[in-house]
Amino acid sequence: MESSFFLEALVKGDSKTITEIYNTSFVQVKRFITQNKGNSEDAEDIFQKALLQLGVRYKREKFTIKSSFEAYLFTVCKNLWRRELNKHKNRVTNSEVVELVSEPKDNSLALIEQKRQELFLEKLNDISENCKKVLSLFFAKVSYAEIVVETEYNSETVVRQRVFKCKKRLTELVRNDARYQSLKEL
Amino acid sequence: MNLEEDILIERFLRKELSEEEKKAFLKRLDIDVEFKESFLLEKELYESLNDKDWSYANNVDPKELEAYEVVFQNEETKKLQEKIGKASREYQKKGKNNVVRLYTIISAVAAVFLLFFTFNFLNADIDNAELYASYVQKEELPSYVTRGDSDADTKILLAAEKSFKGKEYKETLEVLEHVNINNDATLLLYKGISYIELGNYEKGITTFDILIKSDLIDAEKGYWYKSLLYVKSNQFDKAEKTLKKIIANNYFKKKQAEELLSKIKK
Repeated sequence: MESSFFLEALVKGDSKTITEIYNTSFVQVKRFITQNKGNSEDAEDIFQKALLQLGVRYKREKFTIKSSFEAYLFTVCKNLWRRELNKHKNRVTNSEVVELVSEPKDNSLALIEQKRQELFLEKLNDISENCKKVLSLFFAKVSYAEIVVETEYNSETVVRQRVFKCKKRLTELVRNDARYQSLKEL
Repeated sequence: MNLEEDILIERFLRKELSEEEKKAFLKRLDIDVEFKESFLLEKELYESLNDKDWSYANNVDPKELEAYEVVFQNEETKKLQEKIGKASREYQKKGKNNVVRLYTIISAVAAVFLLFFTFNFLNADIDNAELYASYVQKEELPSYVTRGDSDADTKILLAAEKSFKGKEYKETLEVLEHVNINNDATLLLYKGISYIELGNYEKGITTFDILIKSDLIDAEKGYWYKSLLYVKSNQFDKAEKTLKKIIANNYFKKKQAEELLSKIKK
């Protein structure tokens, strides 16, 4: 079934389809969360937030999903869970977010973060395969020495220059995309 | 941005700067707009593209943020939120009900068998098969209807369940012939009980033996139903042996097995 069918159903608040989404997707999400430091209640909470996020986003902008609806929903849940798990770290390093944020605001922030991440992944796919490989290793915090082993480059200096050039290409693509203006940090 | 600046940002993000360098870095962020922009984008990428981190929106365009907040707070969204909450509660309830139902079924089957045997031994003249038919309540065995998926295998399972609950045991066995049921304890029980119903005890024993020899969690249930088969078919020696095994190994229905054994021995 088309992904837009499920998105339309969320906007319309079609209970039957929402139940169907639970039947097909919840188990997978629950498994992921319970295997990653969460419990059943966390899984329920994340799943509900994800469905609400999709409904609200589709209401405001008719976006398209390139993968299946199920796969996309899983990614959104996974990201919302990453967000929960890193919250403590974020509070420690950013004193300005210690203040209590209202639920609608927090949900809106999560939605913007999701869109930002999608934009970055889209741009990462637009650069050369070679750059994509080097940057994927770099962002995964693999050391330069290890990147030398993983790739055909023969020294850390060469890898460093390659990372620099690839990053430059990636940041150019991001900056030149009009969508980034409403998603970037000020 | 040049390579040097890029290395500096990277060292800051990796927390490699000394206190002094860090101080100078933060000061530069305050006065150098271009440098700050480069830093923020690098930080966003750095946190977004690593599975263990997450890039938070701490200070984004307020207009964009507000536009979403408005939608999150409107009446339609609140209704959607309620509907999602309701679907979630129903989904969780269904899961719990299935567990409760399973326990109810097991208890009911146990009670029925117990009643049947008590009655049987008090009224030795009464026909075993007749009692069995009156009390077995097979319609309460676990169901596949609530699985929610509709692939070909599930359709076969549903057909088997329909026949079984409709007491069409021959049809049940015919349907189950088309699917490998050796890794499904409930289906093996459907099959085994269907054989009991049709009086085909040999095949019933074979079926329960498949369950017993499997590595399924419910494998030990095979002993209990096999002992019931022996009782129903008047093979009391074998029933006694099987019940003793249940008791010695603390298998499924140990307590009932002890009661049943004492009645057989009377």
